[in-house]
Amino acid sequence: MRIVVFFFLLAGILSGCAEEGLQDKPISFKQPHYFPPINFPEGNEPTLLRFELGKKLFYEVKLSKNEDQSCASCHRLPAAFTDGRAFSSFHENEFARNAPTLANLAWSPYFMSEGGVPTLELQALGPIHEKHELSLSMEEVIDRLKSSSNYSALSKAAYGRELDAFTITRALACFERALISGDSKFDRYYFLKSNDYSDLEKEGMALFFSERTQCSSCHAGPFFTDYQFYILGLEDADIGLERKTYLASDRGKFKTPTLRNIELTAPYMHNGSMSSLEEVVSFYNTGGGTRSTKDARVKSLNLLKEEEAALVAFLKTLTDWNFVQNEKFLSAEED
Amino acid sequence: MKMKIVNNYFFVVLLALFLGSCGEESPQTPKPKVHLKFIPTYNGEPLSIDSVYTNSFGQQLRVENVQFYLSNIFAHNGSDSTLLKQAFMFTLLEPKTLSLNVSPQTFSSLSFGVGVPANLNKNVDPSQYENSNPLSVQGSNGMFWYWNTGYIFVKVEGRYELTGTPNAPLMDSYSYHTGDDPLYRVLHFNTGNVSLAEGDARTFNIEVAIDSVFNRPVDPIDLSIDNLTHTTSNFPLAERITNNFVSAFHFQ
Repeated sequence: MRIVVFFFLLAGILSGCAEEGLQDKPISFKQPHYFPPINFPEGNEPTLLRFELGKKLFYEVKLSKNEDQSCASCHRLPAAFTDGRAFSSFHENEFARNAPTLANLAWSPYFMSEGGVPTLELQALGPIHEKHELSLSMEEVIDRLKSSSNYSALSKAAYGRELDAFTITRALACFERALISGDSKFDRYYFLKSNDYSDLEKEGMALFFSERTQCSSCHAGPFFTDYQFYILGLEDADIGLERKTYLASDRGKFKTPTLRNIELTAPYMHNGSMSSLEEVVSFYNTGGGTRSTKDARVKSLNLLKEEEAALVAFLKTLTDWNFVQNEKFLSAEED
Repeated sequence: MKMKIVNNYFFVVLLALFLGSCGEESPQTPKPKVHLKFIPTYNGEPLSIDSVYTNSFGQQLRVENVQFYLSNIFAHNGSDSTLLKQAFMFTLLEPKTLSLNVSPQTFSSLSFGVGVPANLNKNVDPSQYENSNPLSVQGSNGMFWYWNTGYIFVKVEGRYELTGTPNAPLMDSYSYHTGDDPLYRVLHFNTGNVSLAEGDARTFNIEVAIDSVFNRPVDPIDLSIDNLTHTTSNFPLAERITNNFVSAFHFQ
């Protein structure tokens, strides 16, 4: 009899390991061999339930004050996790900026426009609290989520603890790290040696990697960004990196964006002021913006119209259609 | 049979371990306590959020919110220092006395940082803390910047008007949010020799003279010019407000 009681006790203690029948298991994210390995933070290695919890949170409108917005409102899969708008804030404000893509965040050394956030986990706190975005305190988020659906069970099964700021931020980061994009026409031609690449695209690629344009000096490496900050010369009220560093020399500096899926992420620039790739290429070809402090590489390129067209054709080969049509990244409701 | 007896003993030991935490702890002499009571004032009188004050430029202002972090609260006895508390947040609208259980000890001074020290500030994830910790996501209560991570050390907010006309409405807002590693300041206060044995308690009153923020003689604040800084938006003003604010602490 006593032994039976003991087993009941033991079963009660161990029951926390498998909440409501949820069984977790490690998963790996499929990534191209030409991308470096991902350094997962300790304690947030990917598992099935961490990914599922993160995805559920990503599409959860209860994270917003009026229960009408989610992370996915500004980061939509068909637009490579951008939103097609010039500014993404729900209410225009001084620091409103164009929504960045979420592709390949797993390799980003820092986050937000000024690079002021060191981890993807910590980044998740920003849009939730930001009054121009989801605008909700973490306390309210947890109160709402604990009373709905199976968030608590998922949190316990995925992280072994109640739903809290820790598990919410880690799960969102886990989902976002899975958003890997490296299966474009360019990848298949350049890395996998396919023959499917037109003469125009080849010409554009040659120009892109040339000393003449120096595009690839900033849009470098497999992610087409060096993650550094430069002045292109656009004149507007946004002070850029100066906001973080207090240095006047950083006024108007913005982080190099990735060019992967660039065809799908219009409008362009930090302020969404350019609506097409043709406009962007023309901007660079004519010497960039008017700020006198702009980067020395931003100068007239004297490209012919045909060469501009070739560059645009090349940029369009960076689109990863499998990525933007991957149903694993859609919410259960949208599957 | 022998195996069964062993199993039964094992069960009893396990049960005792489970139930052990439910038992009453034996009565103990309470630890010494140190209470730090922060008293916000304006011109020597208790600060009221409903009162209208005048600064040295003749401008009228109301103080509607004051929040600040104190951290690394130490007691010092010669070269020995004892950490009493890692972090504490004061909020004007919900003022709390900081009550600390300490070990029996003697000290002659206290020190604390106004703000959050560098090792706890940047690159620190507040979600790692329990909710009861003032540095946690919930505990920080609006005192954390998420776009450029780090804690807001001090918030002073309210309304003002420039004419000094009696009963004139205070239509404009001022807002000072200061924080960043260069703005961390450490203050020391002599307490005289204090010896605390078991069961002892000492309360120290610390005045926070908010008028110093506006009227510090060496650097008064003209609200017609300097009415807004969230540190990055105007770092020089954030530095001035910081220096004025730390001059507001008076050990009584």
